Amino acid sequence: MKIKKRWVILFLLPGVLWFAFVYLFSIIQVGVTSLCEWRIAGEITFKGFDNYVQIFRSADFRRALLNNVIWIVLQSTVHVLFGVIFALIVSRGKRYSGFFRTVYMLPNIISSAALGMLFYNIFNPMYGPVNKLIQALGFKDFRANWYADTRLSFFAVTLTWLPFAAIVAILVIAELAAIPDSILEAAIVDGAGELALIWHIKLPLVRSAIGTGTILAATSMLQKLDILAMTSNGGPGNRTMNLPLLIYKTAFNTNNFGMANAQGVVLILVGLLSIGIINKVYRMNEPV
Amino acid sequence: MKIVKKVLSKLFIFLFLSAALLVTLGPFLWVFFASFQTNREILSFTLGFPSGLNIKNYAKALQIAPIAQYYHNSIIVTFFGIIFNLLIMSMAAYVLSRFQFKMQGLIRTMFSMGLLIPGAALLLPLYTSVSTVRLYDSVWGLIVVYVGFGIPTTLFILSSYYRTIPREMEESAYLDGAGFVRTYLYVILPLAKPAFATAGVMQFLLCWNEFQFALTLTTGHQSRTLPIALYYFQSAFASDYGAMFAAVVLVSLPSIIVYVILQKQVVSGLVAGAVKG
Amino acid sequence: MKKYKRISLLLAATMICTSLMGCGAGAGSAGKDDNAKKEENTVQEDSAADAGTQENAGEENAGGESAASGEKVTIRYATYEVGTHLGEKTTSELLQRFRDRNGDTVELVVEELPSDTTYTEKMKTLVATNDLPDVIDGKNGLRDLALQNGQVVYLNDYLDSDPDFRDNVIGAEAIAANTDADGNILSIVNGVQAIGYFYNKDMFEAVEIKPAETWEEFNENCEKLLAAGYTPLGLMTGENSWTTNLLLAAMVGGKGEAGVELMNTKYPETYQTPEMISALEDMQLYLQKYTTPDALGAGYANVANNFLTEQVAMVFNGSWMIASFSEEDKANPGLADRVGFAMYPGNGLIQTYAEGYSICASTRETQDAAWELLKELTGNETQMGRMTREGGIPVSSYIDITEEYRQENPLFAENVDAVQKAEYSVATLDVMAYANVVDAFGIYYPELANGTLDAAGMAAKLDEAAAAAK
Repeated sequence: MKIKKRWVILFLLPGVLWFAFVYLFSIIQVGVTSLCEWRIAGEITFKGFDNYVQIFRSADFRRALLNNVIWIVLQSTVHVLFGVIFALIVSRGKRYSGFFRTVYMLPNIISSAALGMLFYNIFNPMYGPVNKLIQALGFKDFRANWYADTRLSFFAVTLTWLPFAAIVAILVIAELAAIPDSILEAAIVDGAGELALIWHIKLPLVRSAIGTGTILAATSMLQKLDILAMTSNGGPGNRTMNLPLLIYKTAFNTNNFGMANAQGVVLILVGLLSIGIINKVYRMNEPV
Repeated sequence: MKIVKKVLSKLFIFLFLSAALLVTLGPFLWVFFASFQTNREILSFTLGFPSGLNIKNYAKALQIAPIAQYYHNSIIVTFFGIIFNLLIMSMAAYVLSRFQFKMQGLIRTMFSMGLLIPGAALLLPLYTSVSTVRLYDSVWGLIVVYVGFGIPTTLFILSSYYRTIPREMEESAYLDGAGFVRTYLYVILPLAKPAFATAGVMQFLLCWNEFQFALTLTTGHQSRTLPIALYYFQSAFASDYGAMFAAVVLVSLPSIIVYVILQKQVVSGLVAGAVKG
Repeated sequence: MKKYKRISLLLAATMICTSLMGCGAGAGSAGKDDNAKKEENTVQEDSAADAGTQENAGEENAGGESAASGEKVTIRYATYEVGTHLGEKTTSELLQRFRDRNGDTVELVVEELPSDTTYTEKMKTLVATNDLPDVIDGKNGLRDLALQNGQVVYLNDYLDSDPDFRDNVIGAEAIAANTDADGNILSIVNGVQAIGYFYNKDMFEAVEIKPAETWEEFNENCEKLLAAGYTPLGLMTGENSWTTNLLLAAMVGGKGEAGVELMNTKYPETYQTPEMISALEDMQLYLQKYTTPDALGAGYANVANNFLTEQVAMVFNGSWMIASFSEEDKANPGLADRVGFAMYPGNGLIQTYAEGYSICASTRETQDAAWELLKELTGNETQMGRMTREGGIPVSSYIDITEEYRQENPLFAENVDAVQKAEYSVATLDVMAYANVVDAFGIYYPELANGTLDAAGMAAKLDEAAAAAK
């Protein structure tokens, strides 16, 4: 389609300018100072790739990077799967659909600080309902300390986000609703069962929504901070450390902004790589 | 065979929804009930309903944090945060997803980087920029920042949806003699309503819940938003669970109500806007 | 392929920007440094009351306050003592007093920063942007950062101008604690921390024990309590590991001279000393055996509530906790009468002067106004409020702890008297260690308890953290 160039520019301009105001300075600063010695209240001096050498030597960083990759993979597979199944069930338009859509959204609605506080308390080994429930099911001596046990903490932390796939679900629901009835009816007339309908008609048509949901789910793993800080705080040791928490601690506990920004550059690269892969898998740039 | 399949699928749906209900609603109900109890009752918690309801915690919670004022600010920030964000990004997403031009990939990649920049790396630059344009300690400073934060998500959601709109729709508009802007306003936008609803919800959640920058970019009660109120219950050497849970409920419940109302709009948006070819 | 090409193009562009900006940033920071030096000069000259530099200072102050006579001076202050913080009432009263007394000449702008984390985080942002409030609470390493920034105003001249305040309200000892090696007074406090521990008398009587006088006896006590079905120790590893670190500090101090010295050194060279390692070994046992199932990862609220509902026999905490023993919503009925105070074995006590308050104002006018605020923050009325409401131990010699007050507050009286009896005293880790070392304690205690890390290994981890903070 031929269009006038000025319309493209005019339509893009507000977004680009706004983006530049909020992000551009930060992006440049992250890139530049990742190559500098820069501590709070200190001077900024150039020192090359020293920060990068140091962070890759640090066991905490390597662990955080590994955890982050695992979480991104889990989030773009298991989590997305939950969301898609939920969307398929709820979009059948039964009477209970509206109720479930709202309820499933709950953990995404409230602030992460409130959510962190909530999870911290329900997993408390003494008065938390999770252990009480397990005890009531017959395991009388069950007293797991979820966030502090070296074997359980990774699992417990993962549980705070993995099942809650409402964002993926609403994206998919929106596009499911946009599938023309005629297509579905034609398929039913051809004798397609429910599973075949889902597999051959619905899923391919909402591919782009699933892709978008996957990108948002995967990149959300690169922003998880509050909830981690309020539950396991990255511990025990560095078992549940992720990049955002490590960056936060490097900047605000250790006061080392330069190194935090080097870690930030790695985080951005991991994110771009993830988005690139997801784009490829879901062929996001092609029309449906 | 068919009946077995049907029963199995019903069973699967039942189990799936029950599990979803348990993991999402369970924690909230527990906190809700706990918010009516004293510390001692919470600590001796047993499964089941609380013995009595005690609203003392709520009175305490309202007294401790300036919740009402923060509500007011949150509503303003969220309202304008959504409007501006959808406005600018619906335009950008439209040209980015419908047309081919140089720099397209670069601009897309640039926008998506917004999802990836660590908050800690943004704090200082944004504090400086927002102070420079004299929006420090103002709800407008927060609005500007949140509109920016929402750029990548809104872009993804809208452009993914724009791509599902058949090209014939625009082409026939052009054939009818409509210009670029007219086509966008009268053909594309109405069709994209469901995507706007979804993106609007995401932007609502962002503006309503963001904490770090709300704290860094404001100083006074006249510009602070709701998430900060929760931290009034997090002081060192404080141990009042009851009031803390009451605060969680007070901060969360209205968000839930707003969401329920918004979601009604989302549903009607879905029905009205869907391209039922 | 195309995509990757684009990404690499973008990266290349960023790199170019990088190298261009690199020079800019370098130059900028040099300028900043000059500025800081200049500021330091003005501060000194100002202190000497040299009227000639006032203009200069006024120009430098970009905060928007006018230095012209007749107009109000605006000063900023930030406090975390809001919301559920114990000091909320005392603080709001003292700020009101300040406004009543100085409202004609000074406009006080207060920023509320609920919770310690938000306070530290925002203040660090303000340090980095050279934008600190005129008066700060220098906890969690903030005073040191302000000092590096060249923003801290030495208080010597102000204190010398008011000898009564200096000698009687604050006192020589408290001042000495916040004086640097060159004799510059960096900050002043409004109280002293003197921390022993509280124990449940009923539980102690039930197993016929007294507060331990030696650390061996302390272990035996724990064993007896445990055998009788009581959980001996209220420990925590969440937040800043407060109660656990208090006990650890006392344990290290209890290991003799070297331990006491280590625990009184600001930012020690190494934690891998025999005393620390041996104390960590004991702590490993305590965390595994003698504490509650939720100790690992617990916050202060958990520990406090466990003690208040009589689920643990001992809690390591300061006198501000006393008031909660008689709060009926939280504590078991009559608990206040069943709580005793004890010093650590061998008459040990944790004693620290916190960093307290510093002036970071840049002009003569704001500094003078800030000094007035500082006097309000640390004055007799505030110290009195802290004592009666928060169980704070005052430093002012004007505050007489009457016999009547002692009768009414026996635990507080015991706590205060302990200061005279202490045979060894150590600082809190929060004051002597880097913030990220305190964080490291909380992160590695669970490993220690789980047995995935031994005491020596943990000490090494602490050193790693300390090295990163240098």
